[in-house]
Amino acid sequence: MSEFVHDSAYTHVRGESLFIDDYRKQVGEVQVFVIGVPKASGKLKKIDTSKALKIPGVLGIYTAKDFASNHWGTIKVDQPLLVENEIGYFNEPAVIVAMKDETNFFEVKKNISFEIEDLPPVFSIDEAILKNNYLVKSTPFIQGDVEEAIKAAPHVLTGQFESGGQEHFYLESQATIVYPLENNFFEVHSSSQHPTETQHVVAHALGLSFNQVTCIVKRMGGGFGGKESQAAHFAALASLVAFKLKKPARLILSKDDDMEMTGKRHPFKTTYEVAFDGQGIIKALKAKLYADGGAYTDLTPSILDRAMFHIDGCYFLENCLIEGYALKTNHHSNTAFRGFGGPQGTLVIESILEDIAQYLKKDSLEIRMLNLYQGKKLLTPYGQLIDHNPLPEIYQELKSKSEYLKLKQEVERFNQKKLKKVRGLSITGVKFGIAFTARFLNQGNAQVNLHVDGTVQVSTGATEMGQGVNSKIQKVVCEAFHIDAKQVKVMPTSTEKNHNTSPTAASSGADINCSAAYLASLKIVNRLKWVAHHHHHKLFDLNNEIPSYGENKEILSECKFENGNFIINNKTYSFLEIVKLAYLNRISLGEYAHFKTENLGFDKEKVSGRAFNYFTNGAALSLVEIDEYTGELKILKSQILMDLGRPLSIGIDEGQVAGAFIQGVGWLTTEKLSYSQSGQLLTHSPTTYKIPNIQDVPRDFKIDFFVHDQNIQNIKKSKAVGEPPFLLGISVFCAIKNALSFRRKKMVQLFSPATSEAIYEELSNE
Amino acid sequence: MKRNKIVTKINHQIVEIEPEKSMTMLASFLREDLSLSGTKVVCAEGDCGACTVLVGDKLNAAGEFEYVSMNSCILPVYKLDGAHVVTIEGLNQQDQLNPIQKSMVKCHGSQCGFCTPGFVNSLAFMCEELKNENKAISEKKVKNYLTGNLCRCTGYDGIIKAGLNINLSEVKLLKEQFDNSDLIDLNKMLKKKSLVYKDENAKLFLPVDIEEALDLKKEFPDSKVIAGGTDTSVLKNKGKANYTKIISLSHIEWLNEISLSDKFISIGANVTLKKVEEFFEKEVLEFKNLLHIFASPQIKNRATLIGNVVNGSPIGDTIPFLLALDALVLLQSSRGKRECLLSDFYLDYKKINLDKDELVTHVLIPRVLNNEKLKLYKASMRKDLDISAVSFAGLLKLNNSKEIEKINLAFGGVGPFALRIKNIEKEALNKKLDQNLINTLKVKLQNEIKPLSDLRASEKYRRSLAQNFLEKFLVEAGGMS
Repeated sequence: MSEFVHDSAYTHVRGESLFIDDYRKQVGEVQVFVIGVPKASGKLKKIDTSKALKIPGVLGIYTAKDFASNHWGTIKVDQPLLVENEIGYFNEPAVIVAMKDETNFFEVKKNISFEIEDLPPVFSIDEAILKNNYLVKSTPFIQGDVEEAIKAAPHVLTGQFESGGQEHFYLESQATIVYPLENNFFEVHSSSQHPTETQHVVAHALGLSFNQVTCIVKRMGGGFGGKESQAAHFAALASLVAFKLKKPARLILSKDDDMEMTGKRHPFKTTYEVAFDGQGIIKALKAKLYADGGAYTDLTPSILDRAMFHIDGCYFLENCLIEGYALKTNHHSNTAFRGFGGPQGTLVIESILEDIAQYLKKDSLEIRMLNLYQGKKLLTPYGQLIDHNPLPEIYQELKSKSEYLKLKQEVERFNQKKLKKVRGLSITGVKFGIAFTARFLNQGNAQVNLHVDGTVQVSTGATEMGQGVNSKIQKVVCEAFHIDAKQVKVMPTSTEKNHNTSPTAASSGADINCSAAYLASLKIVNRLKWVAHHHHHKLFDLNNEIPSYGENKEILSECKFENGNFIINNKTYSFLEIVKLAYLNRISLGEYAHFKTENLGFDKEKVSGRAFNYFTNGAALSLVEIDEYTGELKILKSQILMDLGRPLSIGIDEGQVAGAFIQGVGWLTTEKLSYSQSGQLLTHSPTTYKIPNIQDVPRDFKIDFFVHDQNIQNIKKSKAVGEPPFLLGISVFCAIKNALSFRRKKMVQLFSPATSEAIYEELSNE
Repeated sequence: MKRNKIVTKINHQIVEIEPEKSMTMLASFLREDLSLSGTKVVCAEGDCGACTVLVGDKLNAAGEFEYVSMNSCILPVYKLDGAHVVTIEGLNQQDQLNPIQKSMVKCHGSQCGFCTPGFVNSLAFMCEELKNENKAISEKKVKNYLTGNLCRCTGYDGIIKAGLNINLSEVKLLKEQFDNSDLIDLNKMLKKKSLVYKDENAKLFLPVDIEEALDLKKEFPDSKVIAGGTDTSVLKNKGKANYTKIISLSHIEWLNEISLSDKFISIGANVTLKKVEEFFEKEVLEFKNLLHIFASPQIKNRATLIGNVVNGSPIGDTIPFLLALDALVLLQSSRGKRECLLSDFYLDYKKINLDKDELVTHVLIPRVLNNEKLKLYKASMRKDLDISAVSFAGLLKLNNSKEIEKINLAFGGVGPFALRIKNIEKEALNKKLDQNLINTLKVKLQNEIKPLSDLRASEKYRRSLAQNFLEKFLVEAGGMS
């Protein structure tokens, strides 16, 4: 079958794809604006909107008390939709303004005043620890005897590591349009990764039952986790206006407000003690992870878990004690972001391995390969045994393909020349656990409708945010029916067609939804075989209905479905012919399937069982150059080897790998969040917040796949791709550490993001 | 005779714009008034490129429109008087993809699709220029033309491949796609006819000669004079300023020129950074290279050098260069003309030596002599398209015994405005250039600068950068490496 392109590629390049704000305005449609509080902490005593209400164009101003229920939250219902009493963070939504159009908005904003009783804010993890502001304390992971192993080991390094937050910077900001239907029913169009939660949050906020709200998601202009939980918040705000005014209501956040009001990747701080032998083999790791959860719970507990699940990286930890804590601070409520804590965990171990290499004056790749999961060393810190483990082969293949040893010599020679430039090299890896760690989320459903002209409409709970899940669903359905891409259309996601769905997240969108769509399609194909059987044996009879379809294995095996034809005893019937016959004989051409990932069951309290269905693996080499005058960074080369089992769609998967990698590099280098002393985000637009630009792509950038057939746990032996390659950006960070080790006599102390300034500071600290 | 309506052409259609809409940004005009929603708005500050369109507003020697890319989110429609705007909808062919779009689809250059129309338009600008100049597509070109477009999904890999795989011979020039015979005469006519629009809330003037502009500035001293207007549009979009009285210089042809004499380069107020960059390729390559990483193509196609000068930002990237060369600004009012050395033009943070009724008409830049070495540096969080933490310009002349005969040092980002460090210059003058001198100057420099800590850099880092740039300059320009 030919290579599948993105199912919206044609309309994307023509600018014809419709995003929320591209929907034509309806007569009487209302524009919704959100105004936040001007303090990060305190008690909101009073909001004065009297002057603002008189400004022309204002149709209504609403506050917390206007909601039937003002709180929401995925795991814990602790976040206000609008500030009610206690303020959580700077610019936290407090007022909704409904307006005819945007003309006087800035005037309105100026004329709304807040009376606030100040409370001391908490902005850092350390401060929050001191004040005992814990959101979560996780059950630790324990293997072996850490204390004994540390005592017995010849070398021990203690230290701490910090990684900063990251703004999603999806290009389409949070966006919703709500159409009121009759009798208090609402149709919510949202740029959301989780239509089911959006539906639930809106209903709850307005005091409606779930069946009064339908949430529809055609597509998102990027999500990356930022629209997993937090899209629901803004959908609820817009819905209130539609509910109150009985008019269509549109809420499109400006980029600045979006960046200030919504949560980001969790900053982490980790303290650790690592013991190792003279070869660099880790004997024990003791680590405490602290996450800045921000003001509310959101998805923090699961994100903290995933950080703990990934602190082993690709490496076997014979003895370990991993503890995890999340703190409450006066920052925007931090949330899901590609990798979901995994990058923060793995970054720690990769940074430690770089340190061990510097400490022992050995090659870091050699040390990494000694520490890899291999042979019988396959037990993870959380008690799951890895079943198939291509990591040693992947590292070996990348090492030889990239000519690592030759590059290493070149780097050493270059650095001896002292050209006021210094280079560094590193290979790091990823082993990313695939499955939602919350077991109940590992389910999905699909509706497949086959029309009498042979075309298909598929609906699932997956949402399309650019990652190409629709094309993958389209592809498996095409393969099931032996038809072309043109004949299969993946429909907008709607809670009316697919309910109780999980967010499109955890890289699982394709795994779960392709599986459900494939199941439904196969059910129809089998039914068509049933029809073909009756047709072949002339069993259709106006007086006798054919018995409804049963899984009669004899009949099914008698009829072959090959190249789009049904074949029975060498007689061929075309697909279309059988489809038509099915309809005429009143046989259903639609099917619904429910899918759940088998054999999952991690007991968090006992720390045992299968947390993950399988692992997506990979490794990357990066070669960097640093300007010693300024600390500025250039990535000369990055080479990736990715294990996606048997990739579902090479072109789309390559795009995921490249995109995730560069996003990871951004997190680790230029994407620095800065806040004012009063807690206001200063980097709230692309002028001040620097995501990678086209010039930041490695000068030499290669992506290869490590293809195999071992992953029988997933649809068509493929593996999930969305998040894992993000963690390979860490190769750039470790290459920077490697470069610095050439100039620094002491151990390199570099935290993320490694901005020019941070790099320069390390270079100049003697 | 005066008129009050802006006339422009959008794709295939001539549009007369209602006067009260003339200060609207093009992006919202396209989306709201014309339902052309292919143009997306993300940042509303010209920094992401999602709103990129193509604009032909100047006629070349052959009397045809010369198209460039611009950010429509910060482009007020009054800047489009007589111009031709091409949006993504205008580039679409009826029933098939154009060669750029074909390549983007085939190479997976699009994921979520929100940035895609902007990228297609920037690639169209690349193809238009390369075809006109008979040049081929290269990876470097693709990256350079796409510096002003952000994508968060693809990691740019698919987009770079798409750019490289465009079949340039299949791409049609815009003049082949659009019949502009209707517009060309109209354009000439509009540029001869002043526009005046006044109502109780707003005043807009498009004078056609400098005298008219100066009279207006005298009559409305609190009006904002706009050449490129990129910065003022950002302030407006973000609710930080609301300019209601505007004098736009676009139609004053006299201000469009770059001229060259033995001693000076004269640059008019309407000259865009793109034109400056092109001009300096042959004159001062070092400055061209700086402009290369300064701003995006879309901004450089619109913003002017004089805009950067008058803006007076402490980190305006072109200013240290002009300061180091002892550039002059030419000021004019209905009272007369005067000259001002650029280093006397800046008074304090964003305060300039400009009277209410005055305009800056030109900048005069002394030419770099053969025995002088010029170096320009900047450091920023991201290499391209980022505001500097510190910028530097140095001019050096040594005699045969390696003594410093002339040294001009200018910095941005180390004080309330970009400035010359005269005490260090004096200290260095007539001394022999060696490592000892460098070390002395580096130490003394610390007393001469007062950098701030902000989100871009700490004071400490800025101080180190300033020292290192001085050292790097003396090493490189002094031939010590």
